[in-house]
Amino acid sequence: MKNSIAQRIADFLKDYPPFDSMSIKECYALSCEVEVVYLKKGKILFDQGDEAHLHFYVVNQGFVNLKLHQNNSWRLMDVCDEGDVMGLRPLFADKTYAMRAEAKEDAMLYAVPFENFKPFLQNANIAQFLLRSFASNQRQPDASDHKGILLSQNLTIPEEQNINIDFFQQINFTSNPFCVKEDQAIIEVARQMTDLGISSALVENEKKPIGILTDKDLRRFVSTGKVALQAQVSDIMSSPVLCVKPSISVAQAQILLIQHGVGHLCVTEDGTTQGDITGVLSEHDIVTAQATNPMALLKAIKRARSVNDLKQSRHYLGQMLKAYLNTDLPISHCLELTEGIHQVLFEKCAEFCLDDMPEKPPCRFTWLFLGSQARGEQLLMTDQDHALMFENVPPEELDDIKSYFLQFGKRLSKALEEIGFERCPAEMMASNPEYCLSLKEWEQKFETWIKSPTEKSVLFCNIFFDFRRVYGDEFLANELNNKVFELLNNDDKFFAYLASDALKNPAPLSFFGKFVVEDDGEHKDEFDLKARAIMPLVDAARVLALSKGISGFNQTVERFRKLLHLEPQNAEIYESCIRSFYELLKYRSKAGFANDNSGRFVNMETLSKHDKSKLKYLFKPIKTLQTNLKTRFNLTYFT
Amino acid sequence: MDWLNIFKSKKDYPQFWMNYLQEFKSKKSDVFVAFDCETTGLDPKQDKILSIGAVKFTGERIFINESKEWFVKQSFNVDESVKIHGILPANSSRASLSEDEAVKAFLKFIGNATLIGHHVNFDISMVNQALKRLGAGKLKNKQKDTNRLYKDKGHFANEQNFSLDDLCEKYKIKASNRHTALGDAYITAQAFQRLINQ
Repeated sequence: MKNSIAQRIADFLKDYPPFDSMSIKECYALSCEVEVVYLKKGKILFDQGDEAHLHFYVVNQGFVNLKLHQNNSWRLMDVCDEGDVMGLRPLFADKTYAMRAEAKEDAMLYAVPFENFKPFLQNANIAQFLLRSFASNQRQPDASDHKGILLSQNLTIPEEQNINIDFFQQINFTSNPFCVKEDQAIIEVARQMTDLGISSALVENEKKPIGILTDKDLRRFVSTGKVALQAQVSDIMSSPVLCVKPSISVAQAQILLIQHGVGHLCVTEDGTTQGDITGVLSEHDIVTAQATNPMALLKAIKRARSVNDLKQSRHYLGQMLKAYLNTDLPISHCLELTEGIHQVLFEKCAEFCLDDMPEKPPCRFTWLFLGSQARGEQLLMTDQDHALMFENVPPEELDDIKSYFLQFGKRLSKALEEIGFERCPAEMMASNPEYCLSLKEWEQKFETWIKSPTEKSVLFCNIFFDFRRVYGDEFLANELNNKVFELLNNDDKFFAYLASDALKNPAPLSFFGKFVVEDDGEHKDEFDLKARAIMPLVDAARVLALSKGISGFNQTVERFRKLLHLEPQNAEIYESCIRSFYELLKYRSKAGFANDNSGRFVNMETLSKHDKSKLKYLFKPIKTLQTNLKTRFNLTYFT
Repeated sequence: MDWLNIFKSKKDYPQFWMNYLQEFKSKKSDVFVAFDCETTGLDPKQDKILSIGAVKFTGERIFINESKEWFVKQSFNVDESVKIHGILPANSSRASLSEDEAVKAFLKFIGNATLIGHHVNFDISMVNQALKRLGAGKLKNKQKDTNRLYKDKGHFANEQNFSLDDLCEKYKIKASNRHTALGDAYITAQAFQRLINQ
């Protein structure tokens, strides 16, 4: 007689991964072990840093917020709804939760016991699912951004390729492991292990692994008195030992350990028991590898000896990001990581260029980034946009000093080009005398732009307003920032210009809901994702933030968040804008990596119907936002 | 005759009942048991139990592997009950237990836990009648009625009554498997969780 509640639960689960890879019977059996959790609105299911539960959770009804505690505040990372899986993390090395899960409204969850779920790791599809889930370090790789499956083609990554997730670069295993012979006495081996402070010994015969002896075996057989201390290693060793190739990735190792319920893997030349032993890999190695991964890249950059080393590192970052995107890590993580790594990389780059100069800098200066690089919203290799600013100097020295920094600017441009950032076609680079100026000159420039705006100067403003100091004097950058806000203060005319510029690209959908595609040129009939979808959001966020006097935040999402705080009545619009912005950026980055280009233009014909409707959905907030801008800045007569 | 029980000495009780009483000497269980009986009719004196469904739960969790449903073989079925519960005589292949087997299993399952039901008095009476036929006493468990609790919460007039469906609607509980003993017990458990957490 079947349990009708369990049956009901199975009927629900079977539609969602990873349960969709189980047979009906298996899913039912698992459902019989489920606990149904009622979570009242605002209740916390698990908190960041909490000890792992014995279950993971699937949302049946309601919504659960996943929040991350950062810089003394809780940031909403994700919202789980029906069918979403969360709390898988404890299945892997980490035994604590990385985020807080809190009911957004009354919710019903199914708690699935790990114990009963573990056998399903033998199922390749399920292991794959977990692998991706683990890589993305969040709840459900297929669900978050892909509920509507935005890039269907990207989800069907061939298995081979998917296994090679670079995210987990090769793992550092222990080479030259401690080996023993099978006829050695246990007591002798145990003493050696204790002396060496290790938890395992490989049992070998002519360099081939025949078994492994671990602390666990000693506990289980010897401490309990089942086997005598004088007995041979072969009496208690685990055999055969699980072998892997030296090229194994962290993720693969992880899955193997869980699948087989073991704590150690033997590394052999060819990954079989017939190969020569090259090392041993333990759970501990995995934990270490995970923790040091992006750090390894940062270290490499800090150790770089030449621009060429930096180029290597940037290339590796690209690889990593590509893998990240394919494993569906939240785009916000990708951006943060990229920004962090870029910062160190550009600092190093500036140091190299400075070392190359014949003399030390004659005065204080600062190197500024502009545009999307400055906003930290760029995962792809784009054009360089940057400028130099130096402190105010006596007029008679100005020429000499300027020529020094122009030299420096040229080196910077060249170095960036070597690293892989193409030169800016509009020459917005520190090597251009127009953009290598003293603080006073910069202030004058901004004053002209703001006080006597033209349609052209507004273009500059959009690029320059988001400047960010990358290297050099902080004071100078702050001075300029203060000056800009002073100039902007309640300048309605200028904001009207800026807002109307933000509207220059009308909402990406025509009246009839068709995509507005390019009329002519190289990209005829393609959709310009950057100009028509991403930039309208960026520009709108900028003008809104500046008009509200929001200073110190130059990232689009940060700006929207700040606005959300100031105008709770518009929270819904801003929230959907943040969502659209992230998704569009992710879409573009993925396309860019996939086609090795800027990802800017989308060929409508290659899009599935599903993708199209998803894109349309993402465009919706743009229209709302633009309408809002129009009314807010009285633009009806302006356009 | 009920009052005769007063003169019954402990020795005369069947073993399963003694075991049940024993449970109350140990610490009270902190889980609840929501239960529901499907019956041949609404008169505890005449009608019989067709099935009992029961679910163990706490304020926040319902334990599916601690949920049970017992189908009882009865010699007759009343048309009315067939209409509501869909338990046809032909369906009696599902009914695998005799009444005393089912009731004994139920007693063993609930132990000393607090019983939760919707219009729980009726279900308790049904079980008590069956117990009486087995020469045992009445259920001793603490009991709570979701209809009563709901009325108290909402300060509704005492005469007003609410169906399980009303509660489902109020608390947005998905009402599936209604009118099966286990299905109703499961829903009752959910309704109770919400009632005590509001």
